[in-house]
Amino acid sequence: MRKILNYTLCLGLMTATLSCESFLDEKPISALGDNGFYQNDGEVEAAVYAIYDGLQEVVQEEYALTEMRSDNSGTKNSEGEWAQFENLNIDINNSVVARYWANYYKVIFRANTILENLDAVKDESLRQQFEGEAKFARAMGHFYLVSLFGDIPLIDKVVYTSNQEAFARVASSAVYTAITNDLTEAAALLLDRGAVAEGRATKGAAQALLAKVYLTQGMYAEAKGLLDALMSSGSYALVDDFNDVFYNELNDEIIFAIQYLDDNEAESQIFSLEFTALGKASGLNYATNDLQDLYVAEDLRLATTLTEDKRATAKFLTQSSNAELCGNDWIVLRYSDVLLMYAEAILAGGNATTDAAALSAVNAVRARAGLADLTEVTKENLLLERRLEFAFENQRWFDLQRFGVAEQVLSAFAQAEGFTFEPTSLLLPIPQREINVSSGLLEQNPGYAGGN
Amino acid sequence: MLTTHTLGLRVWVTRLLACLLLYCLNATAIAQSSNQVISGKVLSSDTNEPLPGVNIRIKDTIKGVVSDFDGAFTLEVAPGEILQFSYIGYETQEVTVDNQTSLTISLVQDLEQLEEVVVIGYGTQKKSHLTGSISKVENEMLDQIPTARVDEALIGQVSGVNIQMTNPQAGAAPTIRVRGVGSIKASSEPLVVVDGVVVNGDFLASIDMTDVASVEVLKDASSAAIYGSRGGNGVIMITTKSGQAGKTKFSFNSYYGQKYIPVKKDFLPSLADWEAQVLASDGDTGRLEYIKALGTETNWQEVMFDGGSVQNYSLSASGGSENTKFRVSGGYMSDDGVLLTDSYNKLNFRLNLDTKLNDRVSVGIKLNPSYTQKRLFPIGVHDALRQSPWLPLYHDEHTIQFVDRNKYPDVKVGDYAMERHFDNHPDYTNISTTSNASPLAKVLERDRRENTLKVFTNANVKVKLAKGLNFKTSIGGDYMSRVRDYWTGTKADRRGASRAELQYRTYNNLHWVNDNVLTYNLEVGDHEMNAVAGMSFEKWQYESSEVLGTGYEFDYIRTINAASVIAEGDGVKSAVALQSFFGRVNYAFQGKYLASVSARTDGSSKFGSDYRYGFFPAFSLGWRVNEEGFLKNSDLISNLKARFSYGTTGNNSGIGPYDHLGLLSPGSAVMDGGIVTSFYPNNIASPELRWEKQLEINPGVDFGFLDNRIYGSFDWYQRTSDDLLLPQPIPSVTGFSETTVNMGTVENRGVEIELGVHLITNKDYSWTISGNLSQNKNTLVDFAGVDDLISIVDSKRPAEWIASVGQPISSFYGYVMEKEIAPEYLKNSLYPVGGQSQDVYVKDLNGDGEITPDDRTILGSPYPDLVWSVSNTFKVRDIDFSFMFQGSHGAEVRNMDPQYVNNQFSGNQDYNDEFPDADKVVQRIFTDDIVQDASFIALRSLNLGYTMPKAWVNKIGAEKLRFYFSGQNLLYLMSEEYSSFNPEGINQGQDNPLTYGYQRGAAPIPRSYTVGLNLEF
Repeated sequence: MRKILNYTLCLGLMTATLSCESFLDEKPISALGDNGFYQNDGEVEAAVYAIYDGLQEVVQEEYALTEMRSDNSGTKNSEGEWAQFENLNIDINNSVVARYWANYYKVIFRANTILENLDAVKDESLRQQFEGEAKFARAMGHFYLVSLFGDIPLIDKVVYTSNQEAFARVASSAVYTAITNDLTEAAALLLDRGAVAEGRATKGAAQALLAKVYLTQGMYAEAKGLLDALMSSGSYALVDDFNDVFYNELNDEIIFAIQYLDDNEAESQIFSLEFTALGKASGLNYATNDLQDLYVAEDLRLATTLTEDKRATAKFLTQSSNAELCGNDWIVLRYSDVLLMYAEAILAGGNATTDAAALSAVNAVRARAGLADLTEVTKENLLLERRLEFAFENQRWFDLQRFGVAEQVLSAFAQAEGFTFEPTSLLLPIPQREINVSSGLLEQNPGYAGGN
Repeated sequence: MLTTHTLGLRVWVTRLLACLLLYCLNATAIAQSSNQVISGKVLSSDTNEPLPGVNIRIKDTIKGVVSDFDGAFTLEVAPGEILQFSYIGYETQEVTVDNQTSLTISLVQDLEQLEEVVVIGYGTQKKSHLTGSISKVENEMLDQIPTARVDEALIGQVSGVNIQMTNPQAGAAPTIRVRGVGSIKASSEPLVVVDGVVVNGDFLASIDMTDVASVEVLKDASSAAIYGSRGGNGVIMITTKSGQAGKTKFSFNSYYGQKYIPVKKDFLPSLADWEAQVLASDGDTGRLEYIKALGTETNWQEVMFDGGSVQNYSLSASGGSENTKFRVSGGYMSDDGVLLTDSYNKLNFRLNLDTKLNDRVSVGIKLNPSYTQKRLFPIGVHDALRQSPWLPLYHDEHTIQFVDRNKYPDVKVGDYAMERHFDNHPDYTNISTTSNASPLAKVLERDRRENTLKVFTNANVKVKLAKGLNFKTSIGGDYMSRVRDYWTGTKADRRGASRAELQYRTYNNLHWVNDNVLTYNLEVGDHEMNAVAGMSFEKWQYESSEVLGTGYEFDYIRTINAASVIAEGDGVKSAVALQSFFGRVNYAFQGKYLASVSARTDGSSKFGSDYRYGFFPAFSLGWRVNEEGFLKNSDLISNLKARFSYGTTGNNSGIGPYDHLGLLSPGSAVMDGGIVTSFYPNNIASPELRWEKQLEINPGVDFGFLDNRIYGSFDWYQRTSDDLLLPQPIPSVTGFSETTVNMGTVENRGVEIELGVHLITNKDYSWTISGNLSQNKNTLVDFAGVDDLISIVDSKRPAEWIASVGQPISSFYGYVMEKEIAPEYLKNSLYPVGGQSQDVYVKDLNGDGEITPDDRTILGSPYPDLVWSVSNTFKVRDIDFSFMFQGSHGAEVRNMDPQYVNNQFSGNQDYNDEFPDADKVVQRIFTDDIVQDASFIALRSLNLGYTMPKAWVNKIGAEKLRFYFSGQNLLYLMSEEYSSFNPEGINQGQDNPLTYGYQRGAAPIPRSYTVGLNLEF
């Protein structure tokens, strides 16, 4: 007995002490160490999917920064930070704005990570595909950010806290050049719709986005060329029933969408719930009176765009059994946008056109809505058509800017709603936390505390 | 450097220990037997009463007996052998056997042995020789406090230890802070040690208070430094009762009582008061007419605070022989909780067993399994009380007539009523103020339970290697298996069945520890020394999983099999290891001059390989002035000790197990309608992270006057926490928002006083008053460039906190309220009932004529300036009576309850179009109006007992029988300006010191009275 005790004790003691070389080396169990990852096609592809994973986050609150700042929507109850958007009186510490900024730069970081690890991809066609997707995502991120914030840091490689030169804002013209380059390369590298899984970036998506980038810069001929190519590709078409655009997902009209699944904690979104009175903030992205009165009764889009009482949108009503786990996809680009951009490209900054191709494009969209043909495309009726077609799809804010009427429309809207509008509100504040941590390199936009 | 040193040391110690062990185990001898019978009796010299349980042993053998209940014994001995009589608290006596057959021995009390001993890390020390700051609480009546938790029973017992009932639902953990908050991201919870073994702090809920002998709190860094990296927030050391040799003693304790919460009358006006207001105001009476027609009134406080009973039974047996001692106990406790659905049941069992194998070797086992069942009150109290008083609980034949049938065609008699049901009545103005479901449905239809099995076990071997040199090795662990079963029924939410779900989570945590400790005691002439050296290995393994089931259309089956959709399945594992080497020398010269030096090296797997080890040295000095010649014969001063301590401790709880590595986490996206797996970079690798360090100095004095009739201590301390592990915000363009770094400094400085007076000490009458007082000041000394950081808890109600250098870690920040908006400028100032306007006038502090963010200022601090308690203990013959008052002053709380209860977001309470001063008001939640004084004075406990006369009790075969009445919080005075139910209730954001002091819907402070009995037989 005593001997056994002896041996057990000593043995126990010895093993415990001698094995402690490795005793403190705990390896992660439910995650991977990043040394030695990105070694083969599969690992880089998993990193590519992380881009789409990130985009699922980015668009969750985008309506607040776009639709709710326009004349289309506001909050139901004016609660908390959300109410700052509808009054265009956004605090520099607004957490929704800060999250949007951070989430988009996270996507850009993930895209850059892929671009720096492309060498690991052995399959040449996959390598091109991954590069195209990364450049598409990087350009999309920069495009939304530059449109909303003005000059922004341009992140074209993986940056570390030591790369301080990357923290500063870059003139938007340079940002647009980078976006154009990325999208041009992406359009060349990416495959057509049908050749890859629905949801991944395609040649069409890169072309459509690039066309919008060109329109934003007033480069109408370049835009028209891309849109021509898209329209003749045969990859996309308007679906017959406007309702099917939203409730028959991955249809022929979708050029690029972020996909979600019903009743899946990781793959669902919450914005569908937030667009209702049952949302956590008791109703966001609620239709303004202005928008409610805009639709003529015979417009077939009305029933899909607004609920019966016209206060909320019916475009993203969830079908999930759990109201908080909504699966409605978020549509970034669709074919009717291409058609209306085409008319915009032909209008080329002018006030009106009777160009047959422009008319035919706009009338195709109107015909589906059950509306009579136009005989002339004007800046006004094209902008209105876009508003009616894309209400709650985060287009209105950018349309107002691109058509050069943002200040005029929003100051009139502000007057009607009883709040003050300052032209400086057209740019969002750079999140104050980013300024605080930028070693003095990031400056605030004019009109906000700390800005000039 | 450090690593190679400690490695060498370790190998040496291992070899040394192994050799010593082998030697001593083989060196024991077994004696022979003999055959003369001797019998006798053992008495106590001072009382002449028989002493049961005295060890009587033949010297140098293992043969022996124990005296029985009458002090009698019988033993076979050989002439010439020596009998040893030993008993705790008495001097050992030796008698050489001649030819006598009977013997009467009188044992003399050993005054030195009687001296109070205090448990310190990896050992004990005479209280008189302590040089650090350690408070000891004996369990005299703590087990009569009707709580399931050891920590709750300690409230007010120890200076410098602030225990707050932050959300006192049945079985809920209070918040413990020893000498303030010393960390920002890392935990500020003290380390918990049970019978010398480090356990998870959660174990404070598993230990039966009746099993506890004493609790020691190591407060200063020099005392806690022997626990190195984990001593930074103080150490709570619990010692459980162990068996005593002798006749087996049984002890039965039980109590039964009621818990309740007094209704707060001014919380909301009654409908009658409101009616009077409306009529007096000459305003719109439309709603009044509707409410009168409806004719219902609900006092939501009475519904939600339904009170409950609490009962406890525990039985223990202890005894054994000289060589084997045991104590075994079992207990059951049941607490209905004061809220509508909360309850807690606990079943626990404990075995402490020690046996001497021979003169040198003894082994011990401790085993403590427990099982608890907890049901929660599922929503915040504010949410339960925020409904209009006219809302009935259920529809009856009368109320059903008012239901809006267009919107609610299916509502029937017996269903939960909700405010919107009463909308759109053709004859009346709408009176609903919220679209929420009835709070009764919210509470009853959510069934949230937490069942936990915990097992604490420890086995140890003690070996006497040589005179004064002992070795102890122990292996033990604590295991926890918990199931969280959160059901939300189809009627629980305004969204109905679409929010019905079952969240089913399981946790399996295992923590094991192996301690190996050598101790050496030496007394030579004037020198007294006690040394400890040891090493310890610990490992934690965590495992958790979760399933979320939704799509329940019925409430019948509340398990996952009835879910039509599995919305989430998740599971993670992680592990952490700690390896330590420690040592301490306590030295006393002439019993007057005391010194202690200790050090510990901790290595943690949480840090990168170059920064794993932290070194935590400490020293302390003491001078027992009363032992000096000039005071030795003083009648006035009976005890006077000056002490000084300096020590370093640490903390690594603020970071995850693998933060030093860059991790890729699995994620997923949707392609083609199907799920694909992604891996995304989770964090920036931080291989240079190192231990948070705390440095503390603590001078103090212990004193006693008039033969220690007046006794006490005084301590001053300053603890500086440096290299805090904090998430440093970084530019998001890097792809990350923060990275963990060591930065910043926090300081806690304070004073602690303990004082007691034995006013009357008499055999039949006694009266003792004792009390303690603590003051702590928390200061943010350096925040590494993120000075004036503003934090919020809830972006929907973004009231602000600020972290400014020179101020406490967190201060309430905002505007100073000037006045209310005049009622005529509100849309309807009289509705909702008890409503308040959302906006108030605020002061233009910088005097620039405009209200801008520059008019914000610091509005208060969530940390108390002063915490005290005073206890009185009386004894009059067989009656004992004690009570304790406790108070806290100077803290404020940001109470968000009024925002909900007073309906500050109701459109009726908005200002109207005539209001001229829209630019002079801000929302009330941004002002000091909701920063309320959290001071309180409470009659924490009161205990009145009667012990039956011994003669009578002996007749029924028992030793002791005592009945008692006990009350908790029977008086609880709060500040006038505090408007909710629990000024201690900082129940949200408490894990983030940057937003400390946020209160929203905290459970109220329960009051209770119980009757109980203690029976020993």
